[in-house]
Amino acid sequence: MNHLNSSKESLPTYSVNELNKSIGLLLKRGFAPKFILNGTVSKSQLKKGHLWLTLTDGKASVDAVAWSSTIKSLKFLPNQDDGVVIVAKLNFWESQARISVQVIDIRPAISTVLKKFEIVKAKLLEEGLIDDSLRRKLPKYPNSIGILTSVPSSALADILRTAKERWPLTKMNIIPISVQGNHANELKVVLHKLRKNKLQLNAIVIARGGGSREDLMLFDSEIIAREIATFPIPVVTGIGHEDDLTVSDLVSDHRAATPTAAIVDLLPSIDLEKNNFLQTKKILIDYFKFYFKNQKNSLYTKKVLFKSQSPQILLNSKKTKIKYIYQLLNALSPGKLLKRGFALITDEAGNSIYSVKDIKKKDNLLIQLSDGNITAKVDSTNYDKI
Amino acid sequence: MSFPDESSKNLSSTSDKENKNHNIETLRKDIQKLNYEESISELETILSNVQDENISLDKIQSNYIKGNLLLKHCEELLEFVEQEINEINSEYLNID
Repeated sequence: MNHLNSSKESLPTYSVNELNKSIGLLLKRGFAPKFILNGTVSKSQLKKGHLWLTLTDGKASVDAVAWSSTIKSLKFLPNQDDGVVIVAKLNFWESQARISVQVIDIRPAISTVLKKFEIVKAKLLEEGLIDDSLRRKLPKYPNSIGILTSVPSSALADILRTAKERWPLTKMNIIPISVQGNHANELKVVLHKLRKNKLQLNAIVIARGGGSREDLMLFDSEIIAREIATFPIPVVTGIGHEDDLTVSDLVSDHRAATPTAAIVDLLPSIDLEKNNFLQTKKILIDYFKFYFKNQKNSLYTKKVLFKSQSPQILLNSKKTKIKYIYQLLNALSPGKLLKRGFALITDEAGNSIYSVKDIKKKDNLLIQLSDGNITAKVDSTNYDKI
Repeated sequence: MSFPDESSKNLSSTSDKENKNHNIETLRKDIQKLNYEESISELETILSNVQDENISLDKIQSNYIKGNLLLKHCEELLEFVEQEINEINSEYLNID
């Protein structure tokens, strides 16, 4: 009593209502208007459109609520045991002095995302949907491709810029999709419609720019993975950063590290192609040149062969031979000797005379000179004994 | 696509020439319709054709003309084509 009396002046005095109001005021002034809360959902209950949660970290727990108005804009709704990251503010109900965390935004914690990834991966692996041998070859020169990404986005800008530099011959069909949060059903519907469309696509790219791994949870969705795994044309994924691997990447036909890499991998390079093309051109033109040169050569050879068989040549060769014989004969003919002053002496019958003994006195002799002949009578003969 | 038959040897040489020019024009138009992949594959066929030692002069001539037209077409595709970009709202996907 004494104690109560003595401290009456220094102690504030409240009614219950006043106390609760003061606490509320203090919290409002002294506590951060917004904060981030990490925890695990230990209880989750949907009541009258509001989501009631109990969050814990193993040492302590707190109640939280996501109002129905907030739930509509949430991209992720947690289940029991999910690790979550919550953007929150503090609610204090003055009438009961009750504290509750009001959810402004909620995301899965990385542990939750990775857990889901592992669960879906294991399931699809067991079903045989994740298998390198199922990956189809990408078209070499795609005529027309589908780009599934958010519009506008830096991923799309990167893709279009790269495509223009790399291979402007491919028609780009941009199909806007929502790549944030939990829009698995929406993406599934788009993929399903694309199966039956008449766009004559040769391949599709599913792209999403960087962000945290938690933001890519959509691509760990089982229904999306199943759509991709059974898609009728090749699917290239370019999701997140280099290190991010989603279930969609595992079931796609080609996994690129980023959106830009996806388009690089899918489209041929115009520079390389120009080089190849120039080579083909050179080979082709060389072949034509080679062919005509060969034809010309073979024609020339035939011409030479033909000419060598001509009767003129034969005649000429005979003529040459005759000429040679004639020359030979000529060289041996006595006419030449006669011209040099020698004379050929024969008897009247034209028989050669080899010896003095062959003739007698009074014989008639014929003396041939180069320009005519003389008939002579023998006066005398002298026989020289050698 | 095949190169038009040129066996019109009974015709006089002028109409033969006109005929040939006409054929080349038709061929050029056909080639314009090909995309890059088809053109390259045609070129490869020609390449293997001309490597055949027994090819006839007629054939090499048609291959030569066709090869040159294809080369020109490919070059034009690589040089002058502008990318076609369409945005298709997914709502219209099943209408297409």
